[in-house]
Amino acid sequence: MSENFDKTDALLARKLAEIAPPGDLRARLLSLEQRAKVVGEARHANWWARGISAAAALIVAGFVAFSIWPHGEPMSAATAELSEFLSSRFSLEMKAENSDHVREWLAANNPEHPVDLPAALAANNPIGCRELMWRGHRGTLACFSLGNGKEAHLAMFPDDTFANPPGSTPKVASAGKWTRAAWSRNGMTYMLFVPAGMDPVKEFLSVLGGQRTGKIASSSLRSTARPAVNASAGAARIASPVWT
Amino acid sequence: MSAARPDFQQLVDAHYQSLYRFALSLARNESDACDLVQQTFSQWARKGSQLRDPSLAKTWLFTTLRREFLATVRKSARYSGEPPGDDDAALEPHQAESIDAAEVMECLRKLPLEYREPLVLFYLQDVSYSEIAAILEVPIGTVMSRLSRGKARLRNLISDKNV
Repeated sequence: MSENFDKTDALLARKLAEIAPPGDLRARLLSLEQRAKVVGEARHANWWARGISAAAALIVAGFVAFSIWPHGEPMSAATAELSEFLSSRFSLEMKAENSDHVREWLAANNPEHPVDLPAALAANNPIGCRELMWRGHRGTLACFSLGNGKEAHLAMFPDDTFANPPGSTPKVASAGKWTRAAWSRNGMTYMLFVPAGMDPVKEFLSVLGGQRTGKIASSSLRSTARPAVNASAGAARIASPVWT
Repeated sequence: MSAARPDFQQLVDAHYQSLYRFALSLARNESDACDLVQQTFSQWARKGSQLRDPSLAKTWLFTTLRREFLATVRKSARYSGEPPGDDDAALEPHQAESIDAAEVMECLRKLPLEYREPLVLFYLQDVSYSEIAAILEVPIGTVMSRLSRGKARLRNLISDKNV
């Protein structure tokens, strides 16, 4: 390229080279190989070899994860960054014709954890699904149309993604254009984003996976909005979430 | 003769900084840029072994990062808008010297994507013209013309900044 590389080009190239990646990026990248090995071995090895190699790999991966990400990621960061992502236009890997397609896709793409899709959410028209990669953590996303141009998005990550998984009772928080409810179930953390002003618990989570929810825990996130949450008819009485 | 297959760490060490700079020119912020680089290496960890010619690993990484970007980010208003003119700007080296790295990146981000992509890859000095063409999936002649126009537009932007 030298024939077309003048002094100004050289100067601009030097300026560009001054931009340094964040200090922890290299460590995060190096840990990806180990994670891929764990998933690959778990999927392809014979059952007995799978058990042994996966256990060994999990020990190594656990050590790597513990040493590199001793505290996991904060839920608040996931909420903020996902709400921003969901407000942009993004592509889907799978266009769903019905909720069974969504369930099948989620099950195939979350072999480590059973996915529990809230029935009231699945009753809406599904749009599709995609994989998420957030700060090196793999998750999945299912999108539903609520009519009138409104959408709901359910993001799922393994509990160990987060330093502070929300627990089994939904925690509600305001996140920009969205209201987010987060809860954990069977090793998976779910984050449901619905348009601000809607109540995700009342609309979709009053009965979670056939079990009624108990008291809604308070959110660790700040919010200026304080929408009321009422118990839906026929469901267990739900305490109003505390918005902090 | 095909090159030896680099191990994962060698590949990360050789390319992650350039990939990050390329990602930063495409994405909205550092966090998105990091995600793009992580998605790219995550793909390599899962599928890289399928690449028959290890010498193409670098091109594969840049191509994958670009595809990840195009797949996940819409072509929103920030990628269009009113582009600066094509007139050849008389930018002297001393004018470029006076702006810092962040300002160079800011000017690059103002360029339409079709000029920004080849220009950043060009300034990385790590990628040949033919590799840029392969990464952007366009003929090499298109790369050359976009580079020429992109340089002119970038110099205009920098020159305006110095006024």
